[in-house]
Amino acid sequence: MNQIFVAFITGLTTGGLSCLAVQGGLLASSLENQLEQQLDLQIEQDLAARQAHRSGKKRERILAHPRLALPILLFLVAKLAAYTLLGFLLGALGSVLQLTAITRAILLIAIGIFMVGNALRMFNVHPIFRYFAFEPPKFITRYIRRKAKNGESFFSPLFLGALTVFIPCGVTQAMMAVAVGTGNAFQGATLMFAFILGTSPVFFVVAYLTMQLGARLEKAFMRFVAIVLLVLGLVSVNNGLSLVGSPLSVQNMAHSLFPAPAATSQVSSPNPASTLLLNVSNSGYSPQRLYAKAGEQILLNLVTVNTYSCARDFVIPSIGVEKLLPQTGTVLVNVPAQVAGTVMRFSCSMGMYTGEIIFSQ
Amino acid sequence: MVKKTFRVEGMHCSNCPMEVESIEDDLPGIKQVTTSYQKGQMVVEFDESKVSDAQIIAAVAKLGYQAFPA
Repeated sequence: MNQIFVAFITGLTTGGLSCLAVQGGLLASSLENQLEQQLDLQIEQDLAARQAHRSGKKRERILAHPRLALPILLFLVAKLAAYTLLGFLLGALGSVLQLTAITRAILLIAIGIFMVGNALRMFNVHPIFRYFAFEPPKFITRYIRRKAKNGESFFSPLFLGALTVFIPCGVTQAMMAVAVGTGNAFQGATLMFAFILGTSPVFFVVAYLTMQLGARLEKAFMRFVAIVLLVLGLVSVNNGLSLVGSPLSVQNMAHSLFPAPAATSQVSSPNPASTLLLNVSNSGYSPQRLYAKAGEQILLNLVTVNTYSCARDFVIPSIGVEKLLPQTGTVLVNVPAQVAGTVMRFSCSMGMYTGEIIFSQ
Repeated sequence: MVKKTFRVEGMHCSNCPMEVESIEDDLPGIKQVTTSYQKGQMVVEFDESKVSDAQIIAAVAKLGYQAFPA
């Protein structure tokens, strides 16, 4: 649920502008015909009105604004549908790949590196980073270009909107990789739907007002997009590291640096127990640190109450536990005996929510 | 027909080549334009009797990019 929200916000804040930079030209050329037709009509009406005025008839109101909203809307609706379908296919691809916690972690780290690489490309750090951007095959771009030039009024924006699926912008490409990472066709579809829906308002407003961004504005927002991409990339790498229980992730480093938990968080008794209770909520796990008896098998009770977030997809990488918890209910996990001093890290399947079990005598 | 390579500056994404290649339709005598974002260049196959290097460079400039003979 959280991931979907993040996708929507990413779309709303950066995706819309970034997509417009890439696909704006396509939309503009598809609207060109429309604009020309409208202008011709306007000139004809203008002439007719003047003649009517001269002959003493009442002047008719002249069509002042070309109707651009509808074609832009059609373009966006087609784009939304096409990307949702793409998300479905990418999610399905991810599910066929049988993603284990480890492969998902590798994928997350790879996605992160891909995002960071793209951010560095946008900053023009070095031409080598241009290889982080995929170029669509020539025959596709040629076909799209020709269609955009010879478009008919309403079919054209619909068709071109759907074709944008072949020319995704950098942020969209990153989101497509995340869709594969979900490993589920419906989650992939929802993710892409949320993202593209998020991009639509900005796309619509900017496209409607200016049709094309000025060069100076484009440069400024590209920098903004690059910064967001850089942050998202680093978050993705970090999530991948948490997912494999690496001590290098920010959360796990924080856990090691600050062994005393914050006073406000709900903490289990420091007395090690052989039966543990972990509440799995929409905002993560509580307590984030559990204390278990070393040398004996531990029974871990995972309790969910109306939990919809990805915290439901519970993973303990070190012992290969991966459970999809019910929205409400209790699931028992047997944790084999561990030696004293072991710190066992657990997280959600995307590495966003984390916690640990500390074993002592 | 000749084939010439031009260095292209100002491409900021992998879809810019699509725009640059649209000079195929804008100028007479151009058979094919193959642009690479990664290499920052374009290879133009054209009929020198119908279109000149300068016209190609000007057409690219009109699209907001700068082309230079490589």
